[in-house]
Amino acid sequence: MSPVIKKKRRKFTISSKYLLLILSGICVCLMIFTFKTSVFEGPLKAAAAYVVVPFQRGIASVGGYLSDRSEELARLEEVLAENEDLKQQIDELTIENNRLQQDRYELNNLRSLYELDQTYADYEKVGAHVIASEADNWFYSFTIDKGENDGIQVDCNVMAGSGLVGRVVSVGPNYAKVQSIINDTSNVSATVLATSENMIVSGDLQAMQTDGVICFGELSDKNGRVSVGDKVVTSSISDKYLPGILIGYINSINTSANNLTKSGYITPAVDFTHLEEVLVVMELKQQTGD
Amino acid sequence: MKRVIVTALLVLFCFLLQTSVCPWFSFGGIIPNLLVILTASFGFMHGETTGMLIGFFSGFLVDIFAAYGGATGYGDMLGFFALLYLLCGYLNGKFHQMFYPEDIKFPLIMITVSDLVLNLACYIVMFMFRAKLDIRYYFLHIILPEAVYTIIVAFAFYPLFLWINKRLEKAERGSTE
Repeated sequence: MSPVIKKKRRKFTISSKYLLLILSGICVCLMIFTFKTSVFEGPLKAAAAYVVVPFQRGIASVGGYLSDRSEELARLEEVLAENEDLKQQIDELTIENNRLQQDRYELNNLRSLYELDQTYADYEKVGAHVIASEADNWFYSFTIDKGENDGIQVDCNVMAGSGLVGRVVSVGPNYAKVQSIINDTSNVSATVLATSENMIVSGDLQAMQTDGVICFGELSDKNGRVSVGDKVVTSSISDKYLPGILIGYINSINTSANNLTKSGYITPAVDFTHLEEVLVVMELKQQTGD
Repeated sequence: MKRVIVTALLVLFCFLLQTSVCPWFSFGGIIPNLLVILTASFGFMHGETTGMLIGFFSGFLVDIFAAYGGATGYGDMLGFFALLYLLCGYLNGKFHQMFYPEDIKFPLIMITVSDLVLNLACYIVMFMFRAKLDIRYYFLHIILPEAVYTIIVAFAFYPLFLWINKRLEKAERGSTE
């Protein structure tokens, strides 16, 4: 600004090789330190929360508005036809619902008899918007617009509609990162609803890309009672996921190479390509256990 | 100083575009990698130091908002993408001597190669080490589509970065005269 300090050398010179060494060193140290600890998380998250997240929020709301409008136009005709079908379906479902309600009444009675208080239906949930997704094509995780300030904690389960989406892996003041169950590094302990057999459901990028399915394995089903189309829910022995949340439906079953367990593919209950709003379950698994 | 501010804004802008806007325009779930375009182009346009610093901060942003460390159970592992982008910026900076603003082939080749190498490294560390060995599949369905999409996007973004860099250089020359 003032002409006096103009003489100052603008370039602060440090040999690029040294800078490379220093920065690489920082990266390697960071990787080592953050692999098992969370030392630097506080300040970094605060910075991210106030620099990046507000923009992401803005973009997401504008984008959501635009895509809603365009989709509305494109799908109007489709929706009208669908409406007819759905009206018909409503009639059928009302009849079925009445029958089921009777069943539920009976079930509740029986449950209270057994003191099997199934709580998962009334977990406290908080709605959140998806504001950003992963920056690369390798992993499937996303950022939501609720964080610590809204009471969200690490390991909170995340659902969309009736199905499981994933769990919160990291929280900032006003955002949280969610790792989805279709992420390649994700594993969920699950159970087949019909037969109560446990299995491990793991995300798989390759299967997801080609067929929109995720893998399962370690299913011990000696009598072959599990069949294609069976519902798969989170198991009660999982240490991160609350029991009884729908994961998806069995798509195919194969016998594993060890001839003891079975593996195969599951079609997830949630449409991961159009995820805009999710529900965060405020209860943690550990709390329900105690 | 002007350069620092403009570059910081560019990094933020590209990151936001990539994470919040690009998913709307994804083809088969593949999004282009704007941060590689930014890092590589400033690398060969303005030298290794600039490329390195831009790469470091871009990668760091990716790290903060990525959840690949979820497998470790502690949520975050920072530094991996920072290191990758840092090296990408540095190596591109090594080609600063070969850069002429009029030439469009060279930058596009550099950007493509950067994207391919970056993703290949990512595959090797994050997938091959976890025994996901079908490299042909991952190459054809993730790495190559991303590279192609990135080149297409680079046609729009690279001239913009070139123009910004030219303006910055002009301003710098003006102030040091």
